[in-house]
Amino acid sequence: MKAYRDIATITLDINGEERRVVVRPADTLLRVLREKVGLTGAKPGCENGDCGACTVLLDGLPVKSCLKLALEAVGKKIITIEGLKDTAIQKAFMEEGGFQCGYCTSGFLVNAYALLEKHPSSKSGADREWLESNLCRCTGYEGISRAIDKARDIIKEYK
Amino acid sequence: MIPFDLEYYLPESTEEAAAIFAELSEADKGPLYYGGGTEIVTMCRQQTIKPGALIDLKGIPETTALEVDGDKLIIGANVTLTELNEQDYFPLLAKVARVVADHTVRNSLTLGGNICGKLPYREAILPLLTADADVVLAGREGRRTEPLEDLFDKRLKLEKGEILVQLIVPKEELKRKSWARRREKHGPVDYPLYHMIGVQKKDQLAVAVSGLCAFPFRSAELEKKVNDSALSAQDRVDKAPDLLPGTIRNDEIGSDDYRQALWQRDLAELLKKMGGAE
Ligand SMILES: Cc1cc2nc3c(=O)[nH]c(=O)nc-3n(C[C@H](O)[C@H](O)[C@H](O)COP(=O)(O)OP(=O)(O)OC[C@H]3O[C@@H](n4cnc5c(N)ncnc54)[C@H](O)[C@@H]3O)c2cc1C
Ligand code: FES
Ligand code: FES
Repeated sequence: MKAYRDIATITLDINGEERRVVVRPADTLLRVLREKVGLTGAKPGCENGDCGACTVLLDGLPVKSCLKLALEAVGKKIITIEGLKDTAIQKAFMEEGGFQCGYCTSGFLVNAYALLEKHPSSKSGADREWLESNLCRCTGYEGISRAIDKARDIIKEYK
Repeated sequence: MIPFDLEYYLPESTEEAAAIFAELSEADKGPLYYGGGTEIVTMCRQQTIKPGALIDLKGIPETTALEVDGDKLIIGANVTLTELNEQDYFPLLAKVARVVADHTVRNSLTLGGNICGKLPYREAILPLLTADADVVLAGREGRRTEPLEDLFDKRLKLEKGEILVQLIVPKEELKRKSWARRREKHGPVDYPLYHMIGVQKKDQLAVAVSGLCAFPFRSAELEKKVNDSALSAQDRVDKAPDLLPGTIRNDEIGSDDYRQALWQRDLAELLKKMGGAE
């Protein structure tokens, strides 16, 4: 049985790199990413599971990193917004005006990236169900919705 | 951020988990079993709970099982609501799981955590109540399998240090005709005003409700009235509020009068749709 009674050094697989970090067992993954690893893309919005600004991928699944302990991510592959480079969804967000202030954007991008990985071509009602996990106070969601459609077109073009 | 320190353990068997729970309890550490953590992390951050240690059950293989074994479906307590939503064995459970919280929370939130949680809703228990499921529990004294109905009264009555390991559903219960209605004030990711399911079991209608009272329930008294063919459907609906096992909730999401009126309307629809009205 693994036991963490006090501050411990752990290794996290973040964006394909092994990062050694010192954590308290009570540290959330969000805080560790931002404050120990310097990856500030995942944002603290509500830290209550409501807004989705903190979304990261854990073994490919989008999760709210404010509700996860960093220790739960040991042995799993973590992808943050910094790990997404030149993806179709990023391009589409730029082209379709998927953001204004940008605070929610990294969470939306990570979640939408996972959505498109799982549902690359069909909408199948999944878009709304998945993206209801994220809140945006600026855009009214129109640009975000267009960006998802556009990203699908870009993905199709490259296939 | 959780503003106090705690210990974290990741046992690989229920025996290890129960033993470390006992040891930590003796040391006054106030341990808690940990499933998806969505409730525990939130409450720790708000400091409404202050456990000295968390025992994460996700390293125990039998708690993540989801399989048909002979004439029953076995569901591990650490199966997430997303996994339940994506399975085809038990369509009503998939449907109910799909509307709890939101998609990224459901990727973490476990069935066991939802059933053992402190919040009033615990919606995922509804199809297990109507399916006459059994629960497999493990503790220092060993393990036991009991009907959920006998152990669930407002909350799951676990002995101190006991773990909910699995839920077992008889195969004949998996594909029964059913009806479900979840009412929210604003939108689907809200906590519900209430969530009601009805399941046709031979000539009887089984009914379970979350959010209406301070706890989810399936009530024998209410079901008796709902199935009383000597009464008209309207009479059954009129008498139903008197047979609830608790007072109707009155909070910022909705008043008791509003909840009751809406719920009676849905109960009438349930009777009509499921053929229980004659
Ligand atoms: C944003 C958000 C939205 C939500 N919306 C809803 C909703 O719409 N409907 C609803 O019903 N709930 C909702 N919830 C509440 C959520 O369902 C509860 O927090 C749930 O109980 C947590 O499940 P978990 O696996 O995360 O449990 P944890 O947080 O890990 O644990 C919850 C409790 O269960 C105990 N426990 C966990 N597993 C076991 C086990 N196997 N054996 C014994 N004890 C155990 C823990 O000790 C703890 O007391 C929401 C939560 C959030 C954060
Ligand atoms: S910061 Fe995690 S959901 Fe808002
Ligand atoms: S762009 Fe400002 S919150 Fe979404």
